[in-house]
Amino acid sequence: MMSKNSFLVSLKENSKRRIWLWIVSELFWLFYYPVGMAMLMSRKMEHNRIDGMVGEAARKRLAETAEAWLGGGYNTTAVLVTVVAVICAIQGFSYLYSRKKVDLYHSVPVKKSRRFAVIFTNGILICFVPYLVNLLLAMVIAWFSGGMNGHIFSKALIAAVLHLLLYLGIYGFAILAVMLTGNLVITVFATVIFLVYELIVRLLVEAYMIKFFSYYCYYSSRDALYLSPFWYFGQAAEVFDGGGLPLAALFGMLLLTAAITGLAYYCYWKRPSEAAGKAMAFEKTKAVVKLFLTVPFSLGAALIVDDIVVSNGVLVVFSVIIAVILSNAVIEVIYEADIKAAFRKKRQILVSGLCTAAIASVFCFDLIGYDAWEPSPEKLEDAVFLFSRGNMEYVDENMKTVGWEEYALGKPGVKDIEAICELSSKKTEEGDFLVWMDVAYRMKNGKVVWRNFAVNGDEEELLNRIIGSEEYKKMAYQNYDDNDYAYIKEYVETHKIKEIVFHNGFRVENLNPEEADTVRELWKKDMENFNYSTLRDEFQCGVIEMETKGEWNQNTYSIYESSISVYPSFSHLRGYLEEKGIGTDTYLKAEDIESITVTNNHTEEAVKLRKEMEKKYGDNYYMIDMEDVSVTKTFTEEDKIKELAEAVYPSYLSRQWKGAGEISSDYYVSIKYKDGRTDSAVYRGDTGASLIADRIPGWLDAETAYK
Amino acid sequence: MIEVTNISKSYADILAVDRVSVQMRENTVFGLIGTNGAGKSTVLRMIAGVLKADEGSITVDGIPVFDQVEAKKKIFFIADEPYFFANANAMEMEKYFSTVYEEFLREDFYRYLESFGLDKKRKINTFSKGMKKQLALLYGICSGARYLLCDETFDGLDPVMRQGIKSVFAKEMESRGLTPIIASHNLRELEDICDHVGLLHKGGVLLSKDLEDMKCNIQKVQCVFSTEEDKKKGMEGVDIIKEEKRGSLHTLTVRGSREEIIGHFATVDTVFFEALPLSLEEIFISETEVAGYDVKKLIFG
Repeated sequence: MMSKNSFLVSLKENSKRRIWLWIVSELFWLFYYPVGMAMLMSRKMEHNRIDGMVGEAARKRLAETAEAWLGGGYNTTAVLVTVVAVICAIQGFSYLYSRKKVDLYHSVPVKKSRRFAVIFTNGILICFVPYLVNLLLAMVIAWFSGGMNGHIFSKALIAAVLHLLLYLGIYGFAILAVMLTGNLVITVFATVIFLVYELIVRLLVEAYMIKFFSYYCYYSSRDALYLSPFWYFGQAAEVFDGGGLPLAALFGMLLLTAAITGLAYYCYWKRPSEAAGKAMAFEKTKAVVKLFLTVPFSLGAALIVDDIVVSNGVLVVFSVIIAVILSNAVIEVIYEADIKAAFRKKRQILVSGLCTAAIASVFCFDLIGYDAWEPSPEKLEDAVFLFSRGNMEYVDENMKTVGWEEYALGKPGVKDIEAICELSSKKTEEGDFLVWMDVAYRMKNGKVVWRNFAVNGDEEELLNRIIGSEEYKKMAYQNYDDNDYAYIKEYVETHKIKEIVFHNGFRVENLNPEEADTVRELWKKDMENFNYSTLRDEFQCGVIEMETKGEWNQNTYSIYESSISVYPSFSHLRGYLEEKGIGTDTYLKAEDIESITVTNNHTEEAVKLRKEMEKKYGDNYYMIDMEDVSVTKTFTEEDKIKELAEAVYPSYLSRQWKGAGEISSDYYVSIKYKDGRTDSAVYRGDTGASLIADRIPGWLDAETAYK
Repeated sequence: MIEVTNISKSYADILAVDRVSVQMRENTVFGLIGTNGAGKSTVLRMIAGVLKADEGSITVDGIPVFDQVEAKKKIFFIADEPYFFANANAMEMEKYFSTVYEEFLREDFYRYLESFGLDKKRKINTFSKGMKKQLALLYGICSGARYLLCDETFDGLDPVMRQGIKSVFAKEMESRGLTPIIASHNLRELEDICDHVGLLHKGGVLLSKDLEDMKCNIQKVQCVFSTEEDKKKGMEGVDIIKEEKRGSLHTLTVRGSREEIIGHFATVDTVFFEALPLSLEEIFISETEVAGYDVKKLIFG
């Protein structure tokens, strides 16, 4: 027989008072899972009927839909779980807001620990009993429809575990918010603050670093939000999706949940009953909470005002003072529920202002020496360099796309410490041709320091030592690394459709996919002498693009793409292409061209005209349309076509390493071929071209002069 | 016995209870009186374990009360505005109290409910204020708890109901030693119920005495002395707390038993003599005036 005062009896009694929440939760998950699944299955079966799809293909379509709904829809379900967690937490402990209820619950012979455990457990059951029951129902519906299998079942269970952990995390934060506050509105506000505070502070710090530190690097910002259940949930879901076991994320989430729930319980234990109805339950937390809210608010206000008024120091300082006073006043009014209390705590306003000023000063005057930092050769292990990435795509061993910085950080860095330190000391922001880079200095103690800066393009020797190093080539060009190429090749070979083409911006020539290894070997040989000088001094001949495709439902889709650039100095690769009849000396054959149309944008003229208009009409001048000054002319003469063909540089090819004016931005060129071929027939990006500055024919300027 | 020793309680900067010490013996009706804001509710809520005293200690039969289930089992607290679950009826609330008070007397409860004419299936939120107070009292009486803490519970009950509750108290006190502790700002409400009275003022206890002792040890005498000599003789040898004179009629509040006072004045030649019992109000006025307080202001505003 069950004892009158057993835990289960207490749960039952507590449930009676939360019956409406059980009903809401049940309806919530009923519509989300079984009803949603029934609708989806019905729609997909109708699609199968319309498409005449039967057998395995029809079953596969249903299974994919069921899998997406039961085991894949992490984010939608996460939002619902979050909403239910906050409601359950607040409803469960909201009795603390009412003196009448507190008088009853706290006077009856029930230990605080028991009461907390009962309400806490019930809150979990209210969400997860209906969740699991309806998930099971949805599985039954999917099974009857023919779209269920063991894989989906296991994915659904994993998703359920993740959702349960997310629920516990959010639930813990919401309970903590209830414990620290004394009414519903403030609790909801506190819950939101708990869940976003770390993110807001991080964004604020990052915004200040971007604004005040010249060499701030975006890659140095951490994605990790250690106090956010959402972040752990996202991490875990990502690893699960990739087929891994996210032990670190799960452990982190459990640890956070345990810590927050423990803190919530401690606050419950310490919470005075007389706090019912007050804004804040604990007097001692008032000043701290106020400080933690007003300082970021004031710093944020300063940034916004600075952005609006374009760096007017006096106005920014004034706005900060106003923000400090106002935020302090508003919070005090909320605390005391009395408008007259707004300016009562003058010392707190002063402390808040001083903290804001101190933090702002750290950034304004670079008190931490961020920009002055230079790597110490003795302490530096190696460095990872990221120049502009172009269209490169990087994949990990599971063929999952990863960011360049993540990929590069996983590789051995450049070891030429002397070159690294010297390059760092050559930082500049002045010059006609700057080479920008993100550098991760990896110190011997394991610390990684990121900086973003530019050096003058004339630093050829130093840049050659970096870009010409084996380490850099492996971190920048994934196909260069034998190990990486091996797993990519293994993966690519499991797919039937493979394409290799040579593309120079005008022509696309097919190569034999079976010869991919040969192409890569020749390219690697050519890359031995590749360095910064190659990038700066040579104009790409074209690119070799390799693509692997998958097939689904009579359509193909891209699975993996990579490309390698061909430079004039790449004799092995060019020789191979030559053997295949693909010339790489020129982009165009003049004899194939019927006409070349050149548009001279007269950029300088446009700027001059705009200035004249400004002078004449002040702020009310009208915008200059480029068409007002541009001159377009088509050339059909053979000699002129020949000269122009030698000067063109396809828009499709990279110009990242070219200095200002090396490729003229004034001219835009389009080609008409004798065989009537149009650009769109082989469209792979922009088929237009610019002109290489030192090859522009002398007569062109006069022919396209602006009058 | 409930033993309250030197307890203090502050709300932010306001001192609500200041070093209160009082003992509440079992099997008596203890009345806690005081003006609004005197600290009665705070004291009761601390005894009930709802609030934690900033200083001092409270024990119930020797067990500290705060978050101690064993101590709380001996206590049932009826707040000034008792809370009942939304949409609950008397039966549903009984089921709840039955789970938290293991000794809950269900049969007695339903019997009392019927005799007080309260419908067990009617939603409590449709009850009048007085009916809710009766219901709360019945839950408390039937909870099996020895100490029943009532905060302003009797205020507003009609005389018939008061009498009914009084008789239930008497019965339960006799059968199982129920000890009601009743807080009220109204002295007249307590006069016919309490055995012992404590007076709170500004968070402190002004006095705590047995009502019977107070009543027996203080008398009101109205007399007209024959001569000045008789007057002098009459006024000597007794503890006169208060003296008023209208014409030749002396009204004296005198400490001592009725027999002692009558015996003393029998030796004096009086034209008119009468010894009258004092009302609780009058006793309080006298006692507290002795202590230097203007009790009329304290209790009657």
